[in-house]
Amino acid sequence: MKKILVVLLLFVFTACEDVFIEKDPPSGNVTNFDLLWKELDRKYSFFEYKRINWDSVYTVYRPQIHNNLSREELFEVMAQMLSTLRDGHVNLRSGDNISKYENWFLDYPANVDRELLIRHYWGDYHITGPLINTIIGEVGYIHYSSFRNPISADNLDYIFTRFKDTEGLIIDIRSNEGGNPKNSFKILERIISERKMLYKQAFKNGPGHQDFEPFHEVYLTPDLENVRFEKKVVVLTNRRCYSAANYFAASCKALGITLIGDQTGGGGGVPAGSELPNGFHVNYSASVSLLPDGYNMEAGIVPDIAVNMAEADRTKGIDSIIERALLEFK
Amino acid sequence: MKKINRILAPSPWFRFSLWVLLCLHAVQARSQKTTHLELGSGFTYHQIKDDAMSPVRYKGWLPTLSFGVLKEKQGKRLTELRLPIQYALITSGDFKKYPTMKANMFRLDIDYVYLRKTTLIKDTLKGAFFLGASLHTFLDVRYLPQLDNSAIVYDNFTSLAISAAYKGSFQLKRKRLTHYHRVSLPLLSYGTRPDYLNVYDVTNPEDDLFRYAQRNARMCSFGSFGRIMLRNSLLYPIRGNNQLGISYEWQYYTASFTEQVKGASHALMFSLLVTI
Repeated sequence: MKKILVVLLLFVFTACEDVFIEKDPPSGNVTNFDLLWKELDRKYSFFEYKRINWDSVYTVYRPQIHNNLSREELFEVMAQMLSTLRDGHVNLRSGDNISKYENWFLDYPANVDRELLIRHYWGDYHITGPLINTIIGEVGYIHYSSFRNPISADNLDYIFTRFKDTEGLIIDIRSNEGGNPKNSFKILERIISERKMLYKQAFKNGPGHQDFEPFHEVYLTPDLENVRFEKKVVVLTNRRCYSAANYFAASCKALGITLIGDQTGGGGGVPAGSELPNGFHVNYSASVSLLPDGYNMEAGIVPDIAVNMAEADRTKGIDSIIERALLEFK
Repeated sequence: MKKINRILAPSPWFRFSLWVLLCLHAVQARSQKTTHLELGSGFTYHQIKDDAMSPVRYKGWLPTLSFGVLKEKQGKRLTELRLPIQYALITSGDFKKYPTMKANMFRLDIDYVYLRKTTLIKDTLKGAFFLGASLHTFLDVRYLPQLDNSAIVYDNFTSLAISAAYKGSFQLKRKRLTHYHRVSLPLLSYGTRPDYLNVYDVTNPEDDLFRYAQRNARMCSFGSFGRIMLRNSLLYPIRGNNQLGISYEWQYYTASFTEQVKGASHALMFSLLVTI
């Protein structure tokens, strides 16, 4: 009898983690919708800044959800709800589709024409890692199309050695939709000569819409070991610069580097990700970033010299923004 | 010079002490002290419910390799050092319907257990009870690329625990088999896991995942980090004082940080214990 009791006790201890770990929530449409709404309610960082009444959004979209909706229909309603956040960093992924909000650039002029650049400015350009580089007149030019593509120390050594006799440098990040900000820092580290503050950042740390950790200052330390570029630098931006490109523009602004072109598209919150029981995944902004003067980077970075590409110039093969940038070196 | 010689010359007391030490050493050398190197392999079934990862449980079978050193001195003192390593894919229950719901899981444990025979509980005819302390460290990393910046979820805890064990034996035909049962219960732990958002500041050139994990590290009592480990082993003697072993270990842990995690595992291991 004793032995049986011992075996039973062992079984009770070892085979019943259901007692300790709660069961999965039901995977119905209503549960998934509610979990999505709640996850954003607890973690999205711009409700107050954008003056969004998330409760009223719930009252609009929740009645459209019932358990007979197909997976695609559920996705559609959820995507519509998320688009009310007006945030390119918010997207829903179902495995078959990704929702997107793109009005941050669609309502504005493109301000870049790649074919025009190739035909009239880039000449016999070099492709060094992800960086297109050339010399326009006496000025070095780098085009970095996406911060997703990593750059190496060798890439920068090659380019900055190539540009050592130039008058200065144009960094063209127009239509760069972001990626890994650490790639952008690799360039700036070679340009600055002392440790400098770039911006302030605070992450959500609680379920209330205004629950944030205290702001911490973000600094960049110069790279004094490798080949450096210490002449004048200007950066070209347009509305399609987003996320890491927005952070790059903000960093340049804080470092005193001249921004020329159009305002960037925004994306001033670090995105975090969550999962729903039905296998949908959602990304959302989870922090707030401010320039040293307190300006919220979600709105996009305003250029120091605002220039739009004139259509008349474009038809003549002239990039008005590059032309304005070249004037900075005369 | 004579004075120096007198000091350096072995006095009777010195010679006696040396003789006692040598005798003790000889006795110790002849005492019943056994050391086994354990090489084990098997499978661990994990279930994990981590709010920093998903609202649903993830589970999976993880191939497990284990290395260990087991020492026993005169049946009065037991020490165990074990390093099980596991790596595999874990998935949600609905993985077949939603194939993105998967994670790569890596886990490394380091367990050190020190036990002494206790007289608090009366020994049975066939076995003895042991009590002692143990140190348990584990690093459990789950990688879910579908969570983008929140893709890496981890638990890393080091715990000081109390352990109790029972070791006995029984005859099976011509062989005398040993069975061993241990429970370990951490009391004080130091560890880290993701905070509210599970995302570090990727826009900060001076921040990274390790610094983020370090910032979130804290001391935990049994209330904020609970863990229990139950181990049952059966050892079958083979040639040269070596042994074959089969063990089953059940573990459960929970960490109440801003996002809670609850994990449980069943491990079935087959091992070879070589006398060294």
